[in-house]
Amino acid sequence: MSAILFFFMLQSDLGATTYDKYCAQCHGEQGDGQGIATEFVMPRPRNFTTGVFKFRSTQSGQLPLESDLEKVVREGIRGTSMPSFAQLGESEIKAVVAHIQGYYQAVIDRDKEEGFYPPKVAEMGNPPKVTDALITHGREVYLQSGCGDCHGYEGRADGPSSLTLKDDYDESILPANLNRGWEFRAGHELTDIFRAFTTGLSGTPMASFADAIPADDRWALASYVQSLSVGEEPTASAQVSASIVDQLPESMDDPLWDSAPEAYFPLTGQMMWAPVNHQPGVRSVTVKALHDQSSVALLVSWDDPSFSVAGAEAPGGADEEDDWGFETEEEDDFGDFFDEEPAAQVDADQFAIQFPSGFPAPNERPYIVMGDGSNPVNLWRWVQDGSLASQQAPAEAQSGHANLWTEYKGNVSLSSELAKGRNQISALSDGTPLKGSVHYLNGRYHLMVTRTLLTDSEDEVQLEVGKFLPILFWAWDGHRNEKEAMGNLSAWFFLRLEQPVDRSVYVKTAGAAFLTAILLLWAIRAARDSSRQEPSEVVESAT
Amino acid sequence: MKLTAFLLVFLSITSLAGEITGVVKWDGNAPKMKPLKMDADPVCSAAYSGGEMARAETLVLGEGNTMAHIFVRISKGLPDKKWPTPSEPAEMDQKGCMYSPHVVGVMVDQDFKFVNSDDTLHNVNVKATVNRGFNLGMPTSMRESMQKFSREELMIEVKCNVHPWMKSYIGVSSHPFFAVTGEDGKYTISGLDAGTYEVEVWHEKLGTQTQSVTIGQDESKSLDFSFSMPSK
Repeated sequence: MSAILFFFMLQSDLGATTYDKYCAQCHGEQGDGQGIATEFVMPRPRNFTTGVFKFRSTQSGQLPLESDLEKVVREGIRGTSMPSFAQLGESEIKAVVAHIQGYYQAVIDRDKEEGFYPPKVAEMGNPPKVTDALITHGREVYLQSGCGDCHGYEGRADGPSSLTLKDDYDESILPANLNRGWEFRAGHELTDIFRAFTTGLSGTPMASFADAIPADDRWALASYVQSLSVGEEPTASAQVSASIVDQLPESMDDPLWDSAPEAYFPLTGQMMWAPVNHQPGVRSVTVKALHDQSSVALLVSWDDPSFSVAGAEAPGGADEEDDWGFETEEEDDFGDFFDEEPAAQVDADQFAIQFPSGFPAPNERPYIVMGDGSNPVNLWRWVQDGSLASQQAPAEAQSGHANLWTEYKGNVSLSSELAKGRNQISALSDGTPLKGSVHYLNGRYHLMVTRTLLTDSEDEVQLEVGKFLPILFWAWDGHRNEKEAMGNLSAWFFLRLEQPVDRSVYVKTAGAAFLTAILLLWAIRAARDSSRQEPSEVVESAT
Repeated sequence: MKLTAFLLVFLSITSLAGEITGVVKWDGNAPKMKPLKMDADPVCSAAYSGGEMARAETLVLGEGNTMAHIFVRISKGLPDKKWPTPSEPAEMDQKGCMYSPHVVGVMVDQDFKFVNSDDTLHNVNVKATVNRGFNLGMPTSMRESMQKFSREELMIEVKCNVHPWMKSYIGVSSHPFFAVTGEDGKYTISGLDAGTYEVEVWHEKLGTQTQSVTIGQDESKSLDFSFSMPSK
């Protein structure tokens, strides 16, 4: 029996069995992208039958090479649900790609007939040596070619068209945040970046610029884009340490901040309680801290492509497909047909810093999702209320790019809240005022907040110098309707307020050094004395 | 002499073949489209400074509720033959951050010219399914792009992702017997031999309608259509 089965296995197509085993769950048994897991996967799995592929080395409108597909199977696509299948042997990878090609055989036949198969590889040439001048030129190309319309003035995916983008499946899709190179789907090497805007990413709004921008300029553009970030995500810091200053900075522009070390903390969507957040809108924060022994100042920064005030109409949020866009509606005639959904509304952007209540012990960290009844947390929460003042674009952006510039500034107050779990949050009436300021600049928020180390409320965190104080960060992207527990949070990390250096340490150190020197000298002398005596001892014993 | 030759050719075209003409009308109240918001790109809104903003072209009605942007073509009854491809390209301009015209017909293998007259980036996302789809970035450094469609496809949606209100349609026909109505709702399909034809009209939201008509040699017949808001 098993011999027959083995024989059958050998006969059956290696590609098909591999596909059924590893691919069909998402990409569907018919290759149409309708697998059992499809509805949980975003971006959606590729529908192979259309022959539309994002990551190709071939010209716009053409099919990928076998090697392009093999690369995707082997390496996966970072930032998506497509994992690496490097554990498969090369023969299996080749076989499964051949099998996948069968799903779009009709498209291959069409292109063969029209002379476009085998597909033509997009011309790449040789990457140039990256210089500062090339990067500067690349930035000019970036702004002049309209890249900022979607990717934003500084590349943080905050361009004026960014939030309206839809892919071929009519799902919302954000442009790449060019300051997060480790999230680039197609890779962060110079050639990867060059290839992405040369071939275009089919099925997405990312067009091919092969005919529009000369190759030299495209290399400059690639250099600029690459220069904005690194290819690997920074390692999470263990703590943010606050050095001591004589006086805390008044504002976030104070040069005192320049010397403060920056900590990097990754964030993830809250997944413990429904509604869970599968698509985290904020994926990391950077934090700096300073203290003057009576108060602490924290400076937190995070990327958010949308500046969202509660109740605003979401750009691109309305379902345009079903909306005729009539100005005058004759209810009797058209009301039923419209089925018009009200335009989606956004929620407020928010940020919160979470501490254990009271005097925290480093090894006692409350439940991460806003504590619980026995271990409550203190939240310092800022809610975007629309009070920040819009800033005018500076002269450098005025010439033709003012619409790409989004800047808001202002002083804000944060509420001090006691949370005993995600549904039991109360603002503390006896809470200490939390003074802060916010600066939103081209897709990035900066929030500075100061508070006295100790307060009168036992529900609030008491910050002791020299201790490891558990700290956790929450961020909500209002445009994605993130709110309440459906936000993004970090793990527990530590805030450490550095201790003042004890002046007696200098005296003690000097004294110890002096003593050591004396001892050393004595030891050397003793050693010398004994070595001088040695020969006579030897002679004595010999006689 | 030349004039005679011209007249002969002219007459041969106009009189030696049949013709179908007609008007497409909207039956019901005439709603007006909302003005488009183009603030996101100042180049777009500047194109309308001082005047009225452009409106979506989903429903464009003329005097007497005549319908523009209706793609009309012979869908049945033509002999099975290959028709010559016009040497002049069909054209679609991007002007004032609108496609002009909103609906264009082109023959298989005829040149198709995309033009960008705006001083801003457009991308021409041609969502073909029968033909090879493509997505062409057209920054200001690229004013024109010549393309071709090698298969019949009715209709291809064209979108600009940078300016999400921009949408248009291309009808790729295997024969030259098609037309797109203007604001007067009128269409003319000429050069037809005697026979029975099915005429199909297409609207982007209301779908297609067909009617049959029989014309004699050199006969001209009129065939009107009307669309209305379907009851749900």
